[in-house]
Amino acid sequence: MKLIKTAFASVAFSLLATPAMAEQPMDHSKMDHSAHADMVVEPNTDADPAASAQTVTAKVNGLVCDFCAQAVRKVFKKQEAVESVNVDLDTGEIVLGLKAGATLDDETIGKLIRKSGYSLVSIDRGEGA
Amino acid sequence: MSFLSRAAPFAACLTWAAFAPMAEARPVSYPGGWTIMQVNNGDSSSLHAHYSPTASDSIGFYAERNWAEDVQFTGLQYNRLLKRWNGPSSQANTYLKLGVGQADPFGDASAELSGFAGFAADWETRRWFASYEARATDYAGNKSVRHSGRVGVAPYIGDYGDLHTWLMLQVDNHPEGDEPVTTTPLVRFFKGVQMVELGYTLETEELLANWIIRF
Ligand SMILES: [Cu+2]
Repeated sequence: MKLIKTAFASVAFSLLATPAMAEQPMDHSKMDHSAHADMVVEPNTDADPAASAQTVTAKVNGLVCDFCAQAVRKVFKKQEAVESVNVDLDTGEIVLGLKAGATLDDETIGKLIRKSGYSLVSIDRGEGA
Repeated sequence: MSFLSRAAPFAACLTWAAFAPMAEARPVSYPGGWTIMQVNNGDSSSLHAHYSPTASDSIGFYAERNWAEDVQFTGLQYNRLLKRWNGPSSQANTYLKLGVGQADPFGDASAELSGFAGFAADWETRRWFASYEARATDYAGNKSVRHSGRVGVAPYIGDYGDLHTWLMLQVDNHPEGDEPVTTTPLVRFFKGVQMVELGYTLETEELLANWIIRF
């Protein structure tokens, strides 16, 4: 009986505590608008990658769930050059929107994907919008 | 400091863990990621909060209140991703888990240095799931081994950010237990950064409730 109560309490705790906990680890000193939007609605995909100066599509192996997508997003979002990160689990593709004038070479992309725990298959450099 | 702001929720969990139960699932996260997992079943309740400095390691706090063995364990846990296989639409992993800390037997016996070692393997696509874990514990001189396996299927495939649902079956083997083999059908709900599992162990008529959150 005690256990059942504990179990229900833990689920309730989880549901109630999640938004607060998810927000807490934000580093406010480094917060910018994109990070803020990320915090409020996470996880989701960034809107309109075509609005970026240029897009890069990376085909990646090993992306099977939302935690995978979250990992890749968190790692790429830390990059100065990256404006948006969209993950498509259906195609196994990561679409990076780069800031105007910024570049991100293939080697760095490959390294960041490995660092996230996944494997790069190929990179496709899209035409800028 | 980023570390300090991240440590606050962690500290809150440490406090909360004093009366929380136990479980296990996502042993490592992305570099810089925190994970909190809570497991509750007929035998025990546990809390595991870990930090991943890389995508292959995590270090954290683990506490378990075990009614089957009448003991409370509190300690540190290290998880290591031994190998990952990334396929075009699948992922498989093997992990090593090590824990060291102290176990306080219920009653008046004093706390003793204790620990555990585990090996886990999983394979997952967006539709199918299978996992296995073996865990050997030495809690205050009481040695025990457990095996646990799971299979699961997702009845529909959601997009990133949708509510994902899994139907799973967990089979546990605990040779020394009153009920050496138990079967637990469960449902997993997974949305965004959190996962909740609810199940019912048929043999012992106990509820299973687990949750994981990542940030
Ligand atoms: Cu995943």
